[in-house]
Amino acid sequence: MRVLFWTELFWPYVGGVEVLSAQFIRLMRERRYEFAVVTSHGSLKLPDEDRYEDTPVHRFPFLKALSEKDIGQIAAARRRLVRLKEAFAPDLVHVQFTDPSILFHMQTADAHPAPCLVSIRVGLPDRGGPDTLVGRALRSADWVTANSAAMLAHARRLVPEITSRSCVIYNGLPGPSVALAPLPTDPPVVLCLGRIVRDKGFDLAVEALAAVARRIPAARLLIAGDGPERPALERQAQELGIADAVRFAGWVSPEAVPALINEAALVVMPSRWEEAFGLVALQAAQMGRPVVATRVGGLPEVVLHGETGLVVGKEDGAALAEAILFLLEHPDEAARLGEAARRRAADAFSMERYLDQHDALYRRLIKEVAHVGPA
Amino acid sequence: MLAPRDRLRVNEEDVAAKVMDGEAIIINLTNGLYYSMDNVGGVIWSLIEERRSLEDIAASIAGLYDVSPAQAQADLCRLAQELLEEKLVLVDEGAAPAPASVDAAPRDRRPYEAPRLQTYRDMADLLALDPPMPGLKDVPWREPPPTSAGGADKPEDG
Repeated sequence: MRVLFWTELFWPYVGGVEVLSAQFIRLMRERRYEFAVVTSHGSLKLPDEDRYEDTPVHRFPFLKALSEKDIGQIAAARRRLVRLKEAFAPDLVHVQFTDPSILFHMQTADAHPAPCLVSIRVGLPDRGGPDTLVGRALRSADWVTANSAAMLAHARRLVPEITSRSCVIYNGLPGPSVALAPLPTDPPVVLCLGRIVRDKGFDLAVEALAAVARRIPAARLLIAGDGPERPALERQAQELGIADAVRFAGWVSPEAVPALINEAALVVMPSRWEEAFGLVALQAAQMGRPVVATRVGGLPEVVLHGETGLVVGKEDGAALAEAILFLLEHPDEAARLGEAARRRAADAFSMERYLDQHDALYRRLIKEVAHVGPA
Repeated sequence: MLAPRDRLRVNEEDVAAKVMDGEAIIINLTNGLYYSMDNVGGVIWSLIEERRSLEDIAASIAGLYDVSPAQAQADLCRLAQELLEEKLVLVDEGAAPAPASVDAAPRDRRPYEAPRLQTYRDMADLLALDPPMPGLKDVPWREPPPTSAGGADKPEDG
């Protein structure tokens, strides 16, 4: 069965979604699916046509053409996409809905009619009417998945018609490749991991650490990742007099993430935006770390308050500091939450479950959605 | 109120448009709104580009499709009004172009579906959902390692 897998970014990008997509394709191929990937160049100079392992990768300048309002580029991309669909003849098109490139799929659907699965992986804008791309994309999908109940509820509010043909499939990850280390206490390290952009709220973690350090002077904050807000965070730490307590690890490769999490007593996700899921929370759980997260998007589904971590209101630096302090001052409780998180990750967020759910859905859509091909 | 003899022209200063595979793709460059019209709408856009009068366009549509001239005219007027409101076209005050050749009516007229202007008002919102990180450097192109992709920084983490 041939699947045209549509995702904004793919290898060699190594963000959480990109790595998850690469692992997903590799493991689904073992279940006898054949994939072709439709993706973008991102910000790099990458070939239009490529291969990842044995999977063809086709890169299109969809977003560039749309953002530059370049009708010539739009036409060229569309013509190339039609040729690809005709040649690959997919049995299913699976779109990771994170951006407006889905428009190109919708406008070339007749090139090779096939059922379409749309997977919501980002907090969608608040409009879903018939005059919006979100509305049209969701209405035209044969099935819609979201990676958290919060994202699904939002999509169903926008487009109620999808209620009977939509479900949640939580993200899944393979088990960690390194052994779990005990939660460190000397010094107690708090970890923030991800892109350093304002929406991730790492500034709130810096602010919280200043409060934490007044009671636990040995506490340290480790910020791993890179991004445009890093200089501002470095200034903030200096202004708060805690520059020595905040370490910037820079970008960390996916392979190094489990070992990095092992260095931490807890992981903090002070996000401001509607996190669709929060893969970092799952990575932390796999390593037996409790997470302090904000109540945004799907995060409270991954971090269960009082069971696998602590959940606080967004933009609430004081509550964030209190939660961090509680866990650092109660290491037994932190270890209990971390262990519960680890068990839940192995059960509810396993890669096997993720693959099984997609496998079943793929088969059902390919079997049930009867499309008549072009004459 | 538009009259049958009125002609429209594409608002070329503010609009980029192209008809591909029978579908008109239209972008309002001033506000980034994106539009499309397929089937009958695509044909109408092509005829507007030729600066044909509304009655001329309606007659062509009634000749090509299984629809009465009156219905074609009514649907065209509604669509033209919408295109004007969206500032995608303007009323053409210039001299009329040379008369177009008369379309030969096909033996079998195509099934008719009233033309619709499809609007995508959230394009800018969607483009802004997760902007690429600035300052990424090119990475060496290399084969993927067996257990993980290797390469560039991430723009999102799910």
